[in-house]
Amino acid sequence: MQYTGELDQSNVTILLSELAVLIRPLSGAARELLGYWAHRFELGNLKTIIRGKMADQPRSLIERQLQDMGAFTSLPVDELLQSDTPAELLRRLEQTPYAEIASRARHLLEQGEALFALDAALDRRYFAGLARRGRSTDSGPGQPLRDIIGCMVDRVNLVWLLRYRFAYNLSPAQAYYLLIPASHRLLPQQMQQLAQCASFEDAMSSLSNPFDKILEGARNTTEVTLKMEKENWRIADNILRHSNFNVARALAYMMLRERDLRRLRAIACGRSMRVGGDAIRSALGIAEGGREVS
Amino acid sequence: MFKPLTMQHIELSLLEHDAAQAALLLANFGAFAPEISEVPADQLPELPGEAYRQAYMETRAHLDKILAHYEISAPDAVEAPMQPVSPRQLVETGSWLRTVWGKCSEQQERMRRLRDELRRAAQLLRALDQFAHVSIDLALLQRRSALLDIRVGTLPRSNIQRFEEALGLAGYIAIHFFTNEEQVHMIVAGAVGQAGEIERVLQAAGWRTMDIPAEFRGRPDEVRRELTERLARMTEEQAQEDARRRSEGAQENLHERLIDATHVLARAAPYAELAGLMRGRGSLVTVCGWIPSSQTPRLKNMLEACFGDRFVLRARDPRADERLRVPSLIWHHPWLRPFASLVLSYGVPRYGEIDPTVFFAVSFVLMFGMMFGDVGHGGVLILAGVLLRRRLEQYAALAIAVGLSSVVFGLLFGSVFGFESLLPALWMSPLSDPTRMLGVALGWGIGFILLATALTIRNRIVDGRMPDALLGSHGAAGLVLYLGLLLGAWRYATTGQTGIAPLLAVCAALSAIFAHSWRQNRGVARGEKLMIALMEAYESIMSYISNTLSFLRLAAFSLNHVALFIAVFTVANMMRSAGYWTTIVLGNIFILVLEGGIVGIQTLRLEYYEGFSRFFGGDGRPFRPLTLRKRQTFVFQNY
Repeated sequence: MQYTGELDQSNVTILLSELAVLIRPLSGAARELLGYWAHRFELGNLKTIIRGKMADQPRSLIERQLQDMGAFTSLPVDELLQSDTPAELLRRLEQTPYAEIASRARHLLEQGEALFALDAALDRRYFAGLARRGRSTDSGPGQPLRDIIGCMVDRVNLVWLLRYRFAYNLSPAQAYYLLIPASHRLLPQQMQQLAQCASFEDAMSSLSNPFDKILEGARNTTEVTLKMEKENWRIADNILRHSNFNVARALAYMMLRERDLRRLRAIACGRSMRVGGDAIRSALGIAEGGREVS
Repeated sequence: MFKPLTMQHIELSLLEHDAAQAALLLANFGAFAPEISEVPADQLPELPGEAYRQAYMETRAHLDKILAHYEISAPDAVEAPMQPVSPRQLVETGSWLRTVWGKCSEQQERMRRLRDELRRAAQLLRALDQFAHVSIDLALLQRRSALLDIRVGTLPRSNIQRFEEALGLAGYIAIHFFTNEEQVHMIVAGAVGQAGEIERVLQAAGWRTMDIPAEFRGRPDEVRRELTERLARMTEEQAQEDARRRSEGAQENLHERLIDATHVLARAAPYAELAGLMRGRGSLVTVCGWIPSSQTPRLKNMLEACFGDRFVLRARDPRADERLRVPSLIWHHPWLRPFASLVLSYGVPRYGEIDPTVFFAVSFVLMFGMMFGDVGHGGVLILAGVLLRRRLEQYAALAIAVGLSSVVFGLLFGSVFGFESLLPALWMSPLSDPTRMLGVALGWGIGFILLATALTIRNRIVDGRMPDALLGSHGAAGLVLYLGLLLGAWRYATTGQTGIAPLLAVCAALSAIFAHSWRQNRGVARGEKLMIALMEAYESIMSYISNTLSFLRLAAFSLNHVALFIAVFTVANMMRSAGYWTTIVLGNIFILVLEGGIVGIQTLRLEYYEGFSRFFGGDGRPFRPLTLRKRQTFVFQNY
């Protein structure tokens, strides 16, 4: 466990140090967007702290699970960890840029909702913010940026929708509500239709172009996730190969770099558990020689 | 004074039950910078003070929160500085502080609820504006119907469209009746049969059913009256709660106990801090760190006085391989502090490296004076330094020093607030012989660069980088190149020919720089390596020439100073008596503020770019001694 934790930290450190280099020549909205992208790791820290405090875990245990964000840190982690009770934690969180989350969390906890609802609210807020920033950057890299972020938002929406409806058995209305309030190629009407489908198979068969082709043969939500991720990487790769330096290209690089680091982590973990090369390749969706399996 | 104080690495071994006392002793000693023990972890596997450190951190966090809650400032001095805090005493203090904090936290939570309720009541009051024109009995909205499910409530503004679409899927409609920056107030209505499905959506969306008070059942003006009263009541409660907090904080016994607790924690802090770095086995603990060599006997005496022979102190000089780890501590006279802090803003001198503060102070003051030579302006700077010494703090000395330099150069140039007839020039007015001024500036620049290069060579030798010291473009080869260029230029200017010696010196130096660069880039493709080496050789020539010419600004600014006065006097001469003196005063203020600022920046630029970038690494480790107060970074210190 400690080994994978160190690998995760090492990957985050690599990603953030490369992001710091990429961000240097950027300014204004482009710089802000890339910085916002990095906040996803901090969101993980925030979830860990909230969960840890709710479960009354000792500070040292929570601290061990946190990722060091270096210069990208915006959360007052020490102050949050010093709180004795969940109520104090939320009061302290109200003094941070996550104040809105604090009041939402308090409300959900008063209602006796599971922490899942809080996680979903945090993720929804993050992706909605990313989509909003992608839409507002319209000079130069506007279209490729909208493509890359839109594709990410579509992936998350589709996967969440399928998971909420067919794994958690939420009602169509609730599942639809919990999605990110943004879309790209997967339109709100299509998501409403999907939400009203009775089964996973029905949902797959009612997909329209281009998702029917992208997700052809997907048998469960995990396969949908993998196929949608590959579509993301395809678009990122395309932008990286065929555009000059701009925020879209930087974001594409970061996405692909993260993919590679995640794969390295998977290989290291697989090897340490004595999993065979073929099994690891199959799990990662790559063929011998590193080629992507379609 | 010219380089960081000689340091010694010490390793102090003693009995575990003496560790807390030793930590206090080291903190009182005030010149011990702890660092991670270099004894392998398998030899000393235990962290004996870890539990103490954890308890301290938790207790400290509680104390800080309580002091902030009651707005109490911690005292500066520490009572009984040599009395250690036992683990039991720390736990007792921690337990009491936890209880106190529990009460404070409850109070904060009550205040938070009051704030929320106040905000919500204020929102409701604003929401009434929507109902003001419809003039209905608001109770109608609360009546239950067998067929129609009506709900009134608020939602966060984000995601409203998705919420309405989700409601549509369940056959409900939503009517907004008020919107503010944070929330939307709305009525949601639909068939009673669908209520179950809508319930989960409302929960997920953060729906808050509007808590309509009894008065809300009446007409809006009646509701307004009730809400206003409620707001006043809650504001009163808030004020009472705040007064209670203040009175509790002022209670003598609580206040005193909290101050006692700050003393206890201040005494516990050194051991808690050392505990993170202290290792041990059984009843033995070891701690390592750095102290100035001159302080070793004093530390030994203090330890002997406190522990007798129950300790072992090993001291050694820094090894060559750990030079970058040795912290830098430099002694300076208080007058040099402002210059030292300007040096520090560039970087911390590496251990063993020449500390540039004295050179910096002398050259900064002289260059500033030459560019801003005027007796009157210098006098104003001295006066400002004296009168504003409290506000300027350490920088008062800087203002006085540059003011004095301006006065001296003003006497040399014969200028008092731009008047050149009041005092005879001891040397000459800059504008009377600009060529000579340029020559002096060039001479100054040459001297500055030669000194900087010599310091570079010295620092590299000390660093053990002999090839860089001899063959680098800023090393001995660079020095030969520069001297060759200077000699060649001098001969060409005086005889019209460069002669063979300078040419040979330049060629030899360039060959050395080229060979050094070639050697440094091992592993690089041959073509690329050739390009790098050629560019480095070319760049070294260009940089010496351009850096020398850069000092011409010394003359340029002294000429500029006079030229600005000519402009001021030309305008003043066009005025009558009152206008004349007004122009002279305003012109002087303008020159003093604007040109003074520019000259300051240019001087700093010459120091940093032409000087420090050559010989000063600035990547040293500041000395951070263990003290009873919050640990500070010392680089420049007065003993």
